[in-house]
Amino acid sequence: MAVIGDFDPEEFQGVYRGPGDDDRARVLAEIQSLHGKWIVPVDTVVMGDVSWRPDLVAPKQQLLHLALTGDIPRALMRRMQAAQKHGYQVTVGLGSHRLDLGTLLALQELNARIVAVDWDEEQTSVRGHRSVADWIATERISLSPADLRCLAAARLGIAETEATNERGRLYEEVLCLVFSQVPWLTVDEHAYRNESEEIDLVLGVHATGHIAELAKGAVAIATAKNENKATGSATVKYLKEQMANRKGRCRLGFLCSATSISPAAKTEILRGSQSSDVVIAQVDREDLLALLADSEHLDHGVQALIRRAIDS
Amino acid sequence: MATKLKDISPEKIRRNPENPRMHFREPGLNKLAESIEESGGVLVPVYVYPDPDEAGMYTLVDGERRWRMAVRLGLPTVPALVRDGPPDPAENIVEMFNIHKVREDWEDMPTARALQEVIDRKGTDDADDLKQITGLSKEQIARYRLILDLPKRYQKLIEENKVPMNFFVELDRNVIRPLAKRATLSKEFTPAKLRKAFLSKRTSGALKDLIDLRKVKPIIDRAAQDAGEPDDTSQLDGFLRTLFTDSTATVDEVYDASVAFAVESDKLAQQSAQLPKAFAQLLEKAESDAERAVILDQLRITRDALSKLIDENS
Repeated sequence: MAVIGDFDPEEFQGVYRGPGDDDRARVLAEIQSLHGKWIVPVDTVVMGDVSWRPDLVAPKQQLLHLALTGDIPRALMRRMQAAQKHGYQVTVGLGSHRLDLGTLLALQELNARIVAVDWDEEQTSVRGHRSVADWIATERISLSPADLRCLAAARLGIAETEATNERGRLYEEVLCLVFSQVPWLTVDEHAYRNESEEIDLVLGVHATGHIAELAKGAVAIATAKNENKATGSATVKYLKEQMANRKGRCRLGFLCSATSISPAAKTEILRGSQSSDVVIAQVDREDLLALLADSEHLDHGVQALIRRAIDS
Repeated sequence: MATKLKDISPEKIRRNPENPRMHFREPGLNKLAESIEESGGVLVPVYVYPDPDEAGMYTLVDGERRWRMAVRLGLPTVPALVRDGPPDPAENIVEMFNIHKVREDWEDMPTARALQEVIDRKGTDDADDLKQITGLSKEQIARYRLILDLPKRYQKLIEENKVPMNFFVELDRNVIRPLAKRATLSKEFTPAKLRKAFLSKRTSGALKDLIDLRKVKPIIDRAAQDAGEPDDTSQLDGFLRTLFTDSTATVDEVYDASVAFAVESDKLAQQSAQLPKAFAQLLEKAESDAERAVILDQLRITRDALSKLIDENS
């Protein structure tokens, strides 16, 4: 807005100038009260030739930076990157502002944990997320198709060079991002673990009409495998068990493989399919790349995968 | 007072408890971080004095934002202008004022509080003295003193950016002070009631633009003119009561229904009264008969148009 003489219309109307140190202190206190491990550091963290005094620190080399406006200046991003290289786990507290792709990619590359912050004058609430993908999925943050492609491609690119466990985690993150952007799906659980089962993704199905007919239940389960070999029948059996454990609420499963799906697994999918109304959609490497390449029509792409499973 | 330029570890600098509490907003601090990164460090020295109670430590007079960011970025040193000793409390606040008002604006409430400190420490509330000491204009001093007189809860609203300072300034100028001339009405609608009423109007969305408050004054002035004596009533008082008691009534609605026509026709009458004078000035400035003829033609056209309008409406 233009300044006319000495009359600044923005100042006159009391334009909000962004969160102040009092707001930041309130949010940091809330983070500390939720997770007692965090404390205000008294010393500067030295990482080679770079030093940093983060907003909070926690045992096991954890550092937290609060960016309520979502803007992370290069000076601080450089320090976070140095921290990661020196073995620190970086957590970033983010308000509800939309992040630009560069910041999203940088935080994803840092393997940053995210604390989502809702704050206003009346109340403050914070929720922790293990990764950028988790944060996007759980907080239901809408990505543009291009941003989704970039974030997924960056994860898939790294995944190819990593050890098996790490590859599996990165591949799950990609699926988490993809499924979170399908309008009628929500990622309700990611890497769900209890005493008897491990589920990679528990998806909420919120479809109506013909999509609801395809999905058949309120819950869907996706299992993610990122191994060198083709995904085999054992994985299909385990997925069927997990679906059966949901007691009729889950009739849609996604068998996702970062490589390919073995003929034995395909046979296992078909076994008993005549007598049950369970649908297992196969998503191999080519399918995932096709979904991402046409991420403008992600909804249709996922529907097509389900139809293919029903028709087979 | 002697000063020396030194590089000091930001860890050895402490905030000055004498300084007014400022607000440091995240976007501003982020910009500063970028600037420090680009420049390879803090370029503008902070201003400190040696802590008389602890050798090797310093107390900040000016540069809290730079110092805070230097601590966050873990900078080994910052340039500092070191005074030979602490300023006396009265001088400290004046120095702060002079440094800050030149370089960057403080926010409203911290400035108002700092002004109160100056008043207390220098023992004067004379506007001319305060202008000289602080560099603020008399207008600014009046505005800050106005908000210093507000109840604490309203000061908090300004401080938290929920309500701009100008809301209270405009309300005072255009509603509270003009209404004080109306003895009966101002007893009914005290400044406290009026602030509450217009704040709820703002909350309900009936007061979207602070400029609207400037339309209340003509209603009050007309009502006062109409009433004659301060204790007498005016037919326009009903409109004012509606405006002050109905939180959904907008200033525009009440203005249009009450005095808009009269105010606009008065304005037009004032402008019309200036018209012959303006033509006379043009005729005087005309340098040739041709120029005079053009102006006279315009004058006749105006006269004929006005005559026609009168004939049609008589």
